[in-house]
Amino acid sequence: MLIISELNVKLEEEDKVILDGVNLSIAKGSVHAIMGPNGSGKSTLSYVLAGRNGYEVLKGSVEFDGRNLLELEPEERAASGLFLAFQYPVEIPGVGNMTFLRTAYNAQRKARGEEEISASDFLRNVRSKAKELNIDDGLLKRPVNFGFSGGEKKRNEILHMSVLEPSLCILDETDSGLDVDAMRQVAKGVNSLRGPDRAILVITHYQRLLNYIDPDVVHIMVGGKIIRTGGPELAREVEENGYADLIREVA
Amino acid sequence: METSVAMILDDAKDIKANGWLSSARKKAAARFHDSGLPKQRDEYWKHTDPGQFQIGSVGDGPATEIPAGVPDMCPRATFRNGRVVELPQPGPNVPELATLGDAAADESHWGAGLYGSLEARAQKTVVRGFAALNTRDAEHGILATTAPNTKQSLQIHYCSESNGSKGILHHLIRVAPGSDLCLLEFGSVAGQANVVFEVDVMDGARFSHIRLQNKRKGRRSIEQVFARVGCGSSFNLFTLSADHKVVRNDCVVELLGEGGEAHVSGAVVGASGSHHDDTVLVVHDAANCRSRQVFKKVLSDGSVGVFQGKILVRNKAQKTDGYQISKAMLVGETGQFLAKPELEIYADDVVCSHGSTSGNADADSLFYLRARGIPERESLNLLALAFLAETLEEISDKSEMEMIRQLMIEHLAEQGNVGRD
Ligand SMILES: Nc1ncnc2c1ncn2[C@@H]1O[C@H](COP(=O)(O)OP(=O)(O)O)[C@@H](O)[C@H]1O
Ligand SMILES: [Mg+2]
Repeated sequence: MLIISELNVKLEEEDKVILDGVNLSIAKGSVHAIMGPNGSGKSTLSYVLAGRNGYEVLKGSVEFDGRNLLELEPEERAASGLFLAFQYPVEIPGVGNMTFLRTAYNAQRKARGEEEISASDFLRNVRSKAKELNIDDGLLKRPVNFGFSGGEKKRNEILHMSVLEPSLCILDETDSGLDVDAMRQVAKGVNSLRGPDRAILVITHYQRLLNYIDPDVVHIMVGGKIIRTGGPELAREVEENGYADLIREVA
Repeated sequence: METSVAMILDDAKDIKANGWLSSARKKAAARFHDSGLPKQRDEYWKHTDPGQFQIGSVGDGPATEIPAGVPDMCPRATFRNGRVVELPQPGPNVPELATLGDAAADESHWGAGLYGSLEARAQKTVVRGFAALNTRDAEHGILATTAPNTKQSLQIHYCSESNGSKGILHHLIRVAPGSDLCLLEFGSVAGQANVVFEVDVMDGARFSHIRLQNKRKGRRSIEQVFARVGCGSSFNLFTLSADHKVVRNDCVVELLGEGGEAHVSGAVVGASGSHHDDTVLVVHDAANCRSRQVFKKVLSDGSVGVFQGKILVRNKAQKTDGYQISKAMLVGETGQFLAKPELEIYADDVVCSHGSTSGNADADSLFYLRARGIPERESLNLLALAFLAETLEEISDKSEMEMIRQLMIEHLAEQGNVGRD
């Protein structure tokens, strides 16, 4: 589904290489985790995949469902099934959360040549998903993320993801700032999206979210490279020994 | 410039009326004789070339459409090609109305002595050639007064069919003590228009004026409002402006009684090639008054937004609360926002603030919207609407607020189409 080969990325404005030859393949139906110390390039990878400005791809390629992902506009990537749950969801005063979600949903359907859904059906769908995630109805009416608590923002990202039903879900540090209850709800939301046609990439600094979302494959990213790939036991190794040993091994 | 002035003078009608209108026009003629028309080097004309209001043929189509959402069941005065063609039936909710011609024939009309006087007052702070010219030459307009302690409303609709037409209108509005008047104005007077409103908001009265300056492709207008506000009264003017070639809105509000309030606000959707100038002067001349100026402009490539706003606080206006904000959101790179905020304060116990900002839509917000699948143009429109919607808080009537919100959406969407071509 997603094949990243030899991806080298630098900042557009500075001569600073952030991704230094990333290789990563994610098959349909699987759950991958990327772990790594702060500053290793995890968020940059997620932004480059989602199509944010400000980066220059020096080398390498990204193939998504057989298409060259790097050629597409961010909205085209979304419509073709890629979703990024942001590490820092953006507050947008003046744009209602529900309006935003409906506009996004219909824009994606339109881009795929599908019909728009009726406002009432949509509302019913969102309400029931919000309830599962324990999201207050009030948050649907408020401006997007505006004045939301850290936990509310993260749960709202998962709500957007559940409603938009992407085929590739990328979660960037969705666990940071969550208490145990909120983390359980988020994990439940993510797990309910697991399926044979969907892939999930969980980016995290700590192992704890992976207690709730069982990954099939775990990657360790350091200095803009994936230095190790393994099974769930790799996450437990990091939990026990930290990243230092792994980094030393490679060096 | 000189030739275009001569053209206007040649066009000026002989002052035929006798009585109070004649004397008001003579005084205006004297004012105009002293001022002449403004030049671009004049202080408040640096950003807008006054010469463009005297160009002959403009406009690219008839303007007769009523904007979506304008309520139907409201007393309406209709102008066609610069003349009144219909006045509403009298009724308890309708202000007392007369055309300028009919009022002039009545020597004891309430407008006698008031007509032209508020325009003349406004000339004392800044010379206003177009306004003096208007009072001198206007042959059409309406005079409306509420009855004391009533709540009344009025719509003014301008239709005009001729592209190259010119229109000079002069209206006089008196809001009687304790009364409340809601005025909704829409349509286009002419290809090239010069409109004056004089508004007397008497003690304990409330005036709300909504202007829809849209559906006016290719047209040019200068629209002036001169108001005085009495004790415990409020003056509210909101302008939605889109779909123009050039518009210059001048507003002068004098707060003359204690506890008065002035709200002057507006939203602009500036299409490529359009020029929107809002020039506002609020004069605090009594204690304990409050004023707000709130303007927001979304400016596409090749459009210009001007805001010149001043709060003048005279020495007896203690405990003044004055506020002014003007912001522009540039869509693209070549839109221009030219702001000139001014405070002039002669009292010592006042709170006044002003601010002005201009910039592109927030990049993080834009990426967030697009990453969820909303195309760039649509994302920009959502952000632009959110930006403009802040001005809606200045409108107290919920249905008017919703009408204007819908018009904002409509005009922003039109911009999108223009951008894609
Ligand atoms: N826009 C930027 N400007 C400057 N430095 C950046 C920018 N984006 C990322 N970086 C740098 O790139 C490195 C990787 O950052 P990031 O991808 O956020 O790491 P992670 O998500 O793994 O913590 C860090 O050293 C960070 O400071
Ligand atoms: Mg990060």
